[in-house]
Amino acid sequence: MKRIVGGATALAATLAVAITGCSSSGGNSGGNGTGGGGGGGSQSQAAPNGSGKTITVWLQSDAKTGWPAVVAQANKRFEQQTGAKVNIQWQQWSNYTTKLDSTFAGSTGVPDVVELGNTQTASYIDAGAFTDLTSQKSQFANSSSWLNGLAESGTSPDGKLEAVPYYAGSRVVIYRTDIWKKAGVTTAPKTLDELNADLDKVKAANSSDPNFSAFYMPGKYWYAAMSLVYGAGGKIADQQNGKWVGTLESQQAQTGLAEWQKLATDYSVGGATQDESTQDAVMAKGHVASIAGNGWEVGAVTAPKTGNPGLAKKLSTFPFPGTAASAYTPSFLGGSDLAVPQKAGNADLGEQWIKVFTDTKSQTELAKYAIPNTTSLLKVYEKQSQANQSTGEAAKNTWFVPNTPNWANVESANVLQNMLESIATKKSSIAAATKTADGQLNKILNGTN
Amino acid sequence: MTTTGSTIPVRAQRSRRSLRRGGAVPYLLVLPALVVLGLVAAWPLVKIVLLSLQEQEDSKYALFHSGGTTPWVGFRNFVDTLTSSEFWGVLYRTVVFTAVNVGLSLVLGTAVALLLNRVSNWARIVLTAVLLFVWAVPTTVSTQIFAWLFNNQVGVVNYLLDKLPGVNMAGHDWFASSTQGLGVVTVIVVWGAIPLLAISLHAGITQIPQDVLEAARCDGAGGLATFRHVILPFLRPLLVILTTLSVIWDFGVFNQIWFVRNGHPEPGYQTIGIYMYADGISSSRYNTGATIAVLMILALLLVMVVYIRQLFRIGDAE
Repeated sequence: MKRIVGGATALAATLAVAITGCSSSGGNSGGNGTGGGGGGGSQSQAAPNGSGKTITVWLQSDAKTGWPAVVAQANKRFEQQTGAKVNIQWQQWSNYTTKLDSTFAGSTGVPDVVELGNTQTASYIDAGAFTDLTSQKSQFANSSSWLNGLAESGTSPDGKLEAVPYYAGSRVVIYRTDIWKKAGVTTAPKTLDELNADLDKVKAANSSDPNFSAFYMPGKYWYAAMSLVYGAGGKIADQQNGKWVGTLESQQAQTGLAEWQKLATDYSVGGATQDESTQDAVMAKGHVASIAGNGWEVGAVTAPKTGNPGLAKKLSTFPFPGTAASAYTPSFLGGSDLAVPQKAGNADLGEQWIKVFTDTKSQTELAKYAIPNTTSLLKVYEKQSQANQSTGEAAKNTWFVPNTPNWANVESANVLQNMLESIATKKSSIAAATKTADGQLNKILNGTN
Repeated sequence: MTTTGSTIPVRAQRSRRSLRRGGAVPYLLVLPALVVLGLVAAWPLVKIVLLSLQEQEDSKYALFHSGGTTPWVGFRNFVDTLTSSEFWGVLYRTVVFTAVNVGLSLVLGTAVALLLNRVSNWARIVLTAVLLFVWAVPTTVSTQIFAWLFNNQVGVVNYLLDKLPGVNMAGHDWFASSTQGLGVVTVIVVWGAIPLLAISLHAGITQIPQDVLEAARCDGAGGLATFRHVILPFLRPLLVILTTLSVIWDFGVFNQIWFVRNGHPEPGYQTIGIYMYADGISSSRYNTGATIAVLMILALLLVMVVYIRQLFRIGDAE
């Protein structure tokens, strides 16, 4: 999940642990395929012997702030099993791919495990950056029930397992129950039409506040906009005769974008040139009745230092309604995968660490904070809070970006964000903006730019 | 100006003499500095040039498995970049942006320097201290602060402008139009550039002999005439250096634009530094990035050579 965490700290101490070239140390990790697959958390094979060794693990600091205990218990069990030590180096999402590129290009200082956003994996799998884990797949707990969006992102086009699902996130509507109630809306909308009708009421009830947003929708929020595109039956791009074709000009996609434009221009004030990274702080200011956000953003809006704890009891969530009462608008399944770099010095130990960190015990623990990597534990997650119930529900109907190594360049070229901003600011029509974007998609996705 | 003609030969003679006396020692002494320079400046530069002559592959396979060596393609990357209309649009925008920023920085810097020269001692100390503080603020921080000042919802700039009679600026989004947005960036860049310019130029002004200024006054020169015919000629060498440096800085402005747009600069905000980063580094297209970097260096050299020669010619003519 490309979530850029502001106020960067922990510039992971560059403890360039001098890793010797190729080691393939002791330890018998020869895959004899006896692994019991599914259920059981404990590994069925002898763990590699790692006494005297230290493995380096790159995790995003989301875990450091969100679920440090999960990491700690996994490290402890791993150290007991193998005798090796774990050196966690916390990473930041911003400029992360540049850091990965330069690290993988060298031969020293390559970590034994890396975390990647699920939209980033494809280009690295394509470049042969990771160790092939296919023969070990059955030994990763719950590998038969991994969340689709995550499992796909970790698999190469020819079906090799190169990255293991870690956790996911889905987006829902976060709203102020007090403001909605005052406007006379007491039940969550079930369709987009109902949502629009409710927002009209909320907007009318607060017309005296010029800064008021019934639904704050930043003009660059492509995860939300593309959800409506997919909800209307559209797609970002499609593969036709082996070539990628941008399909944002399609009637369905334009219908979805028109709905998004309504949210961004009729119900949202002041966010036309913003991205979603500040929306929690904006909501905490008090002039916003609803946003589309990850479940954990409820915590960000009510955080003591950066948010407004007074809103804690006033926030609630519901899955983003769809065109019909039976179907929610699909949510973008953001998430992270874990992989063992091809040049890792202790690949077998890295693999073992991932096994421990993603086993049923670890994932049950993780399910208290984030959507776990397996559908079998979604219930544990949903039990935790009202917000989790909505996001867990939303996680059942998701969409994912075109799975091609070139997708990362669409993101870095801001193709969708630029398109959306020109729609939100009404600088260009939806038809014109999607035409430009499709032209860029055709070039970038096929690698002809 | 006329004295420089005689000092150069003197210095040259002296160095020739010491060379005879010192043998290899001066070279040995300068060696560590040369090694450091070679490692931190020359080698990366060589590497950039090499990268720009190699093929831009789509996959990162070569980068990870063969040390980034892709086939040599001669100047194909340059042809590709130079034939894209995008590049010329970016270059044009960068040149205009640089001209406006350098011009404003120098005019305002000189104005503050003249002010420093006129005010009483305590005011000069306070002003200098404030300027030093401004100088000490990292661009990332100042950019964030200015972005808040110009925020369309909670920004104090809109709030104050809105108070003016007949002005309706509530909710105005400064960044919706890239012209206005780059205007805000100009404010940030110029704000950050003034301290160095003002303090250096003030130092330059204090070096002007008082009798020359008095003579000008006796001859009936007013403030403006004194500035044009006495102060400016004295400051010219300093101005040449400061202009050169300002052009280099403003041509490559990155942080102020990047952070004011929260890491997602729209097409209208693409100056050459941003273009290189977005098209090259953050897209993992390092060969393309290197090509743009080389072109950026060449463009800068071209501008600077013309400009410096021009100024020296003016100097010689006097």
